[in-house]
Amino acid sequence: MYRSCFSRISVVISLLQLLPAGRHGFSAILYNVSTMSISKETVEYTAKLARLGLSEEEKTLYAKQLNDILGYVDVINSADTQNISPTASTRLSGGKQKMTPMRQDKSVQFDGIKKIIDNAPIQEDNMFRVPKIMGDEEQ
Amino acid sequence: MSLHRLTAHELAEKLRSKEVGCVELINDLYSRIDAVEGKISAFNCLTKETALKKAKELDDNGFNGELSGVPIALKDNICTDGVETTCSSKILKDFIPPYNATVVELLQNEGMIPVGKTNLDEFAMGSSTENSAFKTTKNPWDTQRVPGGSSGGSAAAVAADEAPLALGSDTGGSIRQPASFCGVVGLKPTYGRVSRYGLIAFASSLDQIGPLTKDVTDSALLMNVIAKYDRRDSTSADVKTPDYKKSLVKDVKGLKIAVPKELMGEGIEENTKKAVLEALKTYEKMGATFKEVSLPSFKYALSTYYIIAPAEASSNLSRYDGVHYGHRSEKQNDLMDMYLNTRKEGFGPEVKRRIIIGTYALSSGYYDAYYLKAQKVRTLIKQDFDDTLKDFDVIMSPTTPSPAFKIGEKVSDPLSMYLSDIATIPINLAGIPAISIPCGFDNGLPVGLQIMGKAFDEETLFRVAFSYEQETKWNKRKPAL
Repeated sequence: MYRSCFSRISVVISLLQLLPAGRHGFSAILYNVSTMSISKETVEYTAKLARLGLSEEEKTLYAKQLNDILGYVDVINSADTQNISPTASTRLSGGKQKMTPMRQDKSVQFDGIKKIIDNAPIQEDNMFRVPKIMGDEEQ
Repeated sequence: MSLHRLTAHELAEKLRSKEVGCVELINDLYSRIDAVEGKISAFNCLTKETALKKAKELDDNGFNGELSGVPIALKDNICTDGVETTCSSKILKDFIPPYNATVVELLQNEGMIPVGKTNLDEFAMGSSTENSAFKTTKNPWDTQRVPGGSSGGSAAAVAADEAPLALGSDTGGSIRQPASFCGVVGLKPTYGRVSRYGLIAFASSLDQIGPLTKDVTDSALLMNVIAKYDRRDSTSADVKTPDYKKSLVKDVKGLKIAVPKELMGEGIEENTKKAVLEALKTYEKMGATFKEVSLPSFKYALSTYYIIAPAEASSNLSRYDGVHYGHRSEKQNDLMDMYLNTRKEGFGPEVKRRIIIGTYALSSGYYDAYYLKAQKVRTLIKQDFDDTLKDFDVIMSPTTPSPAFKIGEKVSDPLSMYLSDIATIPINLAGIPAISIPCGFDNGLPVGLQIMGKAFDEETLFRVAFSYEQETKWNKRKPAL
């Protein structure tokens, strides 16, 4: 039962990922692909993925600015990158830069635990306190 | 005596010869800060009490290291045990790191004295310090203008004699661009040369810590202190650090300089170009040769950067969730609410913008078109540098397209702000080192010359930069404050 439940969730999630314009559905997808423009709903959806709350004004502003910025960065699509491998980090590529050694995965005692806990916005009994995670309906 | 006007190596010499005491030096520096900080706003916090205590210890016990007793300002994204480290962000207000960054440990082992934490664009995202949640730092050469960014507080502090030295961090130009705007020397070392352990991460494949100083000698001496392999940073390179002091010789005979036409053409102001051409002629006079070259991939550099850096940032900044440290929203009915509101209230506009760009570029359906494509173009940019540096010893260009711009001028137009880093960004993408040194003035504002070199060859940069400094002395000029 759990398994079927999870697979249903993952279907919903993958569908959501296909819907950059949220409730506007397919018409919004077509709109996005043909004009490469970003709607306010796309900003809203992306911000939610990043767990970032935005005001209505911010959503409108960022939609406009993102269109400008992505319009500008689109120039990279004219670069010929056939048979070119990606560079994730210059330390990982070959030649003289191959000098990042492996080290033993040994744990080291850190004696500043109190200093860490003291930074917590809310702490209780040497632990980080968070709001309840389970919803009411599941309790 | 105006001790604060001196360079770090001059101060160290006076301390060693007992011409001045360290307590006297630190007191003089804080008097200078008291006198000009109201106009400049370079610092987020000052640590006078601990600085004086350390100075007293050194006066009693002597000065062992080359820079012992010399005060230094630290960018406020470098963790300092027990001293608030904010990244100039509301989300990290009141954060007290439980440990020191490796560079801070190394400075303390040398006997150097941290005097305060300097202002920056929030999480080092910006080119003017206007994105700081707390204050905008002013350019000491014209307080109507920005000091550059994101290490604007560090650059302004050095230019205004509020600190002989400072550390900054450079992800797309954040050391070199403010160094250029403020008329000081700024070095972005090779990626992997200086440990980033304890540097609060922005874009991890690009970030690098480096010095901002009054001259090239100080830059080399500070690199002797901070350039060390560190097992706690998995990108730290296990290579021998040479003694950079040995590179401080005036000799550029036979040096081959490449000048990319992409960084000397459209978009670069005439007076900036003129100052750089004059510098090239000075090198020619000293026995070097220069030749125009083309690095065609440069036209993609800014775009590549504005996909890769926000993508990495969106991942790095996911840790600010209101649980472990920093700000947590009062509005928190459930966990999702806490995340959304904490981040909404804690981050400023530029950081939000980049989190959204980065999340978008990494999200399903766009990953290949943006992120993967950008990483491939990054390879092209690196290849262009490698090819050029096979035939030439160094590459030179203006550090910035223009001198310092006015406060408020670009703040509402993110793209025009991004363009001020057009000459510095390619270097971070390729991972190579580059230094910015003063090379003239345009209507009273400093112009910077950028010198780029091969990976792990900071020695050549120091020799080439030092030679020019000996010949011209632009770095001796001071702003009237």
